[in-house]
Order: sequence, then C-alpha cells, then structure tokens
Amino acid sequence: MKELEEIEKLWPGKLNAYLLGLFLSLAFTLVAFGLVSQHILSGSLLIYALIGTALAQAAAQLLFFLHLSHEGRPRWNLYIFICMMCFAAILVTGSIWIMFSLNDRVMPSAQEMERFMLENRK
Amino acid sequence: MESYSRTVFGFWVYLMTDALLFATLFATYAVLKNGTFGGPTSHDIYQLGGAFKQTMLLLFSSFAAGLATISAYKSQKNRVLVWLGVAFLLGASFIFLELKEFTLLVKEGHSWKKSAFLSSYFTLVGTHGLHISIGLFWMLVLGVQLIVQPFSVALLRRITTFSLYWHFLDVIWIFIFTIVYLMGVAT
Repeated sequence: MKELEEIEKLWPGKLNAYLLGLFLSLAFTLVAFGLVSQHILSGSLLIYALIGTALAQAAAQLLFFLHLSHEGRPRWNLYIFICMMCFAAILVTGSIWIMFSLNDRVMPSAQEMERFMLENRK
Repeated sequence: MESYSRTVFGFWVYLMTDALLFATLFATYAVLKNGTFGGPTSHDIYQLGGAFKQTMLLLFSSFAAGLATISAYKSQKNRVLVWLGVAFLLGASFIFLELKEFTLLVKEGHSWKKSAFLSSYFTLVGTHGLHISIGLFWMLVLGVQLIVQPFSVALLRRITTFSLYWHFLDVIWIFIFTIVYLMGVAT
C-alpha cells in the first residue's frame, strides 16, 4: 500500500494540463480544418500551414497528455523519442526523395506511364 | 516501484517503435499517392466531414482516458470506470465511422485492389484502426479487472500504459487527418 501512495505522488498529470492540451488540440484542428474547407490558403503555403498545425498539435499532446517534459534525469523517454524522430525523418524524407528523383530520372512521366499501363492492361 | 517504472519505460520504447511503423506507412503512402492507375484520386473519394467527426471523437476519447488516469492516481475506482466507459464509447464510434467509410469505398468498387494509392491508403488508415480496435479490447479487459480486483500498483501500471497507448494513437491520427484527408482534399 505504501508503494501505491509513493507512485501516485510521483505522477505528474494535472487536470489543468489536460484541459490546456484539449483546448490547444481543438484550436489547431479547427484552424487546419478551416484552412482547407474555407479555401483560405492554397498551394505550397497551405501544405506548410497544415504541417505546422499538425506538428504544433502533436507537440501540445506530447507535453500535456503524454507528459514528455515531466520526467526526472536522466531523461530516457525524451532521448528515445528524439532517436525515433531522427529515424522517422531519415525514413520519410529519404523514401520520398529517392522515389521521386527516380521517377524524374528513370521513368517516363507519370501520365505517360499510366497511359502505357492502361493500354496494356489485358 | 522498480518494476512499475521499468514497465512504463519499456512500453514507451514500444510506442516509439510503433511510431516508426507508422512513419514507414506514411512514407509508402506519400510515394504511392499519385499511383491511381485510372482509378479514383484522393480528391474524388475523401469526405472531409466524416474525417473531422472522427478527429473530434478520438480527441475527446483521448481526453477521457486522461481523466481516467487522473482518477486512477487518486485511487478513485468508480470514476476510472466511468471515464474509461466514455473513452470506450467515443473510440467505438470512431471505429464505426471508419468501417462505414471503408465499406462504402469497397461497395463503390474502390477497394485496396484497385490501385497502389488505395492499397497504401487502406494499409495506413487500417493499421491505425487495428490499433484502436486492440485498444478498445484492452479497455474492456481493464474494466473487468477494475470491477473484480482490489486497487493495486499492477492495476495502476496497466491504466498508465493504456493511457500512453491511447494518447499516442491520437497523435498518430493527427497526422493521418492532416496528411491523408486535409492534404488529399486540398491538392
């Protein structure tokens, strides 16, 4: 029973933090949804804005729902998280970079390729 | 104490590897998005309203799981059950909407067999849906344990790892909502 109380005291979650997280998540979701449904921005500016709101919302949830900033040292959870982000960044940008540059260099354009494939469907 | 923090940390490491799984699926989706092979494009098939509803359901489900965790750390068993119940209902509605969307797509002939784009779409969103379904089952098990067992460190640990899992899935959904649905409709 003593152990239970000890653990309960150490946990960093507070109602205010959850409410703040919920409020920020709602705000960022509504902004992103509004940008698209009301056609406020377009082109690459819209894409950057959407990525921005998604990252901001993810950060809000990591801080206020997952309590990433509240652990004691050494901050192993944070280190593993950063490690994961590095891997994910290499994986995603690397895949997109390689595949699209392959498309540009080796293949005929996507439309030509598709026409060819549709013609030879049988 | 030792085993509690070790388990929670181990679970966090699992979540990070799970994030890498989703990163791979996101990369696949980005690469294959234009491979529609004469079938529908993302612009033709996505319904923004449904995806927005799903986002709200999952966000509030995640918040309810947070409230359940707060109650658990105050040893308030009944409140944990209530908030877990709310989180379960919201999560179940989320999965219901997702299955409805999937069946509609398949009925219209836009199944995963149609094109590389649709394969990657179903794999990415379906993998997230599978995680949510597992989470729903986990909530049921937790509910039964809360009813039949006295409150203990082990129970607290399970609720903690569950809440991490549930919040994590909401973070993944933010990116599905943005990259798949919002960008799919916008471009």
